[in-house]
Amino acid sequence: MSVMRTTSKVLAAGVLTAALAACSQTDTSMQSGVSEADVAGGPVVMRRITEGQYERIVAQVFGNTIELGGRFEPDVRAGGLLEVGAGRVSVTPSGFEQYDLMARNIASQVLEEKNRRILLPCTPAAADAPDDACASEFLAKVGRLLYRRPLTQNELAIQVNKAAEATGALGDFYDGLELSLASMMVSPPFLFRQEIMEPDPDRRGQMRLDAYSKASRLSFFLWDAAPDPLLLQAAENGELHTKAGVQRQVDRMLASPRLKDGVRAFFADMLEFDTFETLSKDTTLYPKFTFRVVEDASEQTLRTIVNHLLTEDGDYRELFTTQRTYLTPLLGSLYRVPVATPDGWAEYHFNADDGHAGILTHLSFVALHSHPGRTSPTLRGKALREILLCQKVPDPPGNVDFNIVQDTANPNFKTARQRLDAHATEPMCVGCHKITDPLGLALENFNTIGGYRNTENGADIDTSGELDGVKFGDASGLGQAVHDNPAATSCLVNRIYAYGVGREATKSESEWLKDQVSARFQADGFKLPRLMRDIATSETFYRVLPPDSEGQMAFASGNAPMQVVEK
Amino acid sequence: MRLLPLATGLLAASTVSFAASAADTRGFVLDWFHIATLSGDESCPDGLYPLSETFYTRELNRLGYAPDEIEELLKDFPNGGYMEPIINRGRIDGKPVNVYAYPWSQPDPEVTLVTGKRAYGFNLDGQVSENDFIEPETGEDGIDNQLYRALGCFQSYTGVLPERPGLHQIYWDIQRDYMPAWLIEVTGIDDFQNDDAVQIGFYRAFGPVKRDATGNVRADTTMWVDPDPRLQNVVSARIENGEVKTNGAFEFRMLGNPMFMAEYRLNNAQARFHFTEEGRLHGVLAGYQPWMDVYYGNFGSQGWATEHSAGVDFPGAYYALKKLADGEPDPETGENTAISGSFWIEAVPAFLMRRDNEVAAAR
Repeated sequence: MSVMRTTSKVLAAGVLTAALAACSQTDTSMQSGVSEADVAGGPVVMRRITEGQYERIVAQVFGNTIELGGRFEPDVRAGGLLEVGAGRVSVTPSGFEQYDLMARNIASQVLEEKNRRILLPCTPAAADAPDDACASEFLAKVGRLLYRRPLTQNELAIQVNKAAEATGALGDFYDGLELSLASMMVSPPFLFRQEIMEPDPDRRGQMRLDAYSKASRLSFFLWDAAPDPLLLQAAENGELHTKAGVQRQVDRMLASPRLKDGVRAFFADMLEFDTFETLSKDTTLYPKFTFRVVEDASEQTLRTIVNHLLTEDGDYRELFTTQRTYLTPLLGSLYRVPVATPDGWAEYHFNADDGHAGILTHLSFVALHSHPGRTSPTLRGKALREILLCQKVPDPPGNVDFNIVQDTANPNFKTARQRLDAHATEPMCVGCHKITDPLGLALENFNTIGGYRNTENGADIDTSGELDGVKFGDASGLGQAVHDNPAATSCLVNRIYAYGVGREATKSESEWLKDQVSARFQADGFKLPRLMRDIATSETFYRVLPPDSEGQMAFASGNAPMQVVEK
Repeated sequence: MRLLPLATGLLAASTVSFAASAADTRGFVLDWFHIATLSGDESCPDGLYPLSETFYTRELNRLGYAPDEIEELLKDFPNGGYMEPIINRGRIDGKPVNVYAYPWSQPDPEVTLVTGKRAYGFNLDGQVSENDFIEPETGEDGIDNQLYRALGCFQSYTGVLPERPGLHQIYWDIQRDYMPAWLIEVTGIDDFQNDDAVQIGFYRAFGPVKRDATGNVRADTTMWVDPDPRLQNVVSARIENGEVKTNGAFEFRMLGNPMFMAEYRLNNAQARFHFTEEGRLHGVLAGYQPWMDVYYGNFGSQGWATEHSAGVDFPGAYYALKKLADGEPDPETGENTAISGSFWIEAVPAFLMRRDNEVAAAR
């Protein structure tokens, strides 16, 4: 027994040491400067297209009246992003069934009589016999958009042959074409964003993305969608291999209303809004929380972001302090403020009295990072550190005792601060709670569904806290502290770059992002479109490691497959 | 177009202190509205009126059916062959007629009436008479609430707060999803405990209430006031010991749901409310309303489906309302056309907004 106790103490001490070390760890990987010419690039990644991208491609190619009729495999988050996780997933058998179901459903709608007149560029010689010329014309046209590149001659011949064989068996040209189209939509070139590299003629021995892969990377980065015909044309005519050509296309895309889709997709990913799908609240305690709230909560923040960063061309940091937002009457009932529209959305300015300022006080943050029946300063603080400051907070040890923090009815610990103070007397807990709780406690004026409160169990709530040495008194002070913290902007830079390339930045890329891109971001007043332009027009964004390089092989062995094409 | 928020609602319901700032305003949307019943052992000492299977047996017997025929007709109750003779149990010129449309076409079944002494409401006529009640909350005598006396011994009209009379609860719960919500606004509040000059406004919204996850009316929503001049019931009031009371009598007009009560017309009305610790508004609205409105809104328009399930003898209710009508006598016949009644109101905080081209947004 005594041996066990001793062993436990040793283990506990070890865990504590490790936790403290982890909690006090600072990032020392970005200390030296680097110019873009020094950046070697990173490995290519093959990403599974996301649900939103799939929907957008189908609407883009066939129109927005096409219904998908299926469900998607769950995405995986890595490096803080689903877009990075998308390079680490495959398709399971059941997932393939769903893709097949959707593909057949979509193809059926595309080729039904009312749509084929619009979507089919030709009329077959006979409706009950194969017509290779017509099938080829259709499949080449849609294939270029679905694969985000022209089909090779061999690919096209295979698809035309499939259509002919199916037409022969079914006795209907359109049914045959439908099956061929469906088969394209379950093929890897459609379901995965395959990045193809080629030798870089300007850098001997080095590789670069081919023009169509560049187009895809650019388009999904800025629009969260497949390249449009103009971008594909730019890829085809070599424009994307010139700096001026890339800049021309980037500027065109940044000026497009579709930029909003891209910005929304990025922030929905970064802010982990996919987890809303599994968010639940105790409706006995919080009857205002319904499934509609979930939809509106993420939309509120995305509208706020798009308006501030795109419409107003605002400073990214002000997202943490702005009192301007958009609300539905439903959200108004949770925030307890009037909303000046009978339905839909209305712009709203929180008053100082409302206690709300910045996206940290939005439902999408305080509700998403709380428990079903109570708040969690720890979860909120952890989310702030990890999502918005890119600082890793270690997971709690497996044997942690949560009894005190979970007992909200304990008259000795009426507030979350009191409960956490008692809990944090445990040596193994104190280290990490020190870096999370001072942030989360500043948000304690907002209950688990975002409603404002001054007291908990009759006791006044103390919302004072500290972020990296900066003290504040409440949520608006926290927002200002995040606004002023350099980690907030460097985090955004790293996240958005990782989002674009589908993987975390390599060491040399990180240094370039820190020394060059972040500096320009600051000089530009922390304007998101300028940051996106800076990245999208850089050579680094398209630079890839040679296939036999150490970094490429290391990445490939533990991550997604890659494809190399020699021309 | 500019928007004028009429009420700021309650910022934090859990910390309601009711410390009024200058000319404070509170807005509410109605959660519940139902007849104010006060059922107890003393209200119907001879027992409640029997349920429908029993009074249908009596009516079939009156219509001349033999016992074995009645048994056959009712053997599958609530389904079965009794429906047609029961629905058409009225007689005009010897011919069967729908008794719900023509309730006087059958004899008065003399339903059980409330004989208890206590009921919610007000002394609407300023007199104390034998048929009046004593108010359980205020202790006031002379309470005019014959609506309760007429209906209070039907089983589905029994209830003591917080239990609501079942039939009226169902009526309201159904219709509130399909009718514009009712709104209450208390304005000019300088002191939530004692204030001799406030106003109460009863309005209708443009849209129905919004529900929360438990099915109750969602609190703190923004409701838009219908400017229809017929629905602007603004009355002077006062606050005494935390209770908001109207000053004198007023006319209350509110459109309801055409499937039930198309319109509520209460004359010589009075009201009193109190703010609860949860930020809600509870209270009583009373007045005289045309008893035929009551009959056709609650019973005549509902027919057999409600009569048999609720156990309310509709023609019996008709006769009871008619007999107990106690106001607004017809100048020619002298028969009373209105019946006194009290309604219990429960409302939740809301932000009341109205379109206004003249006034800038108050925020």
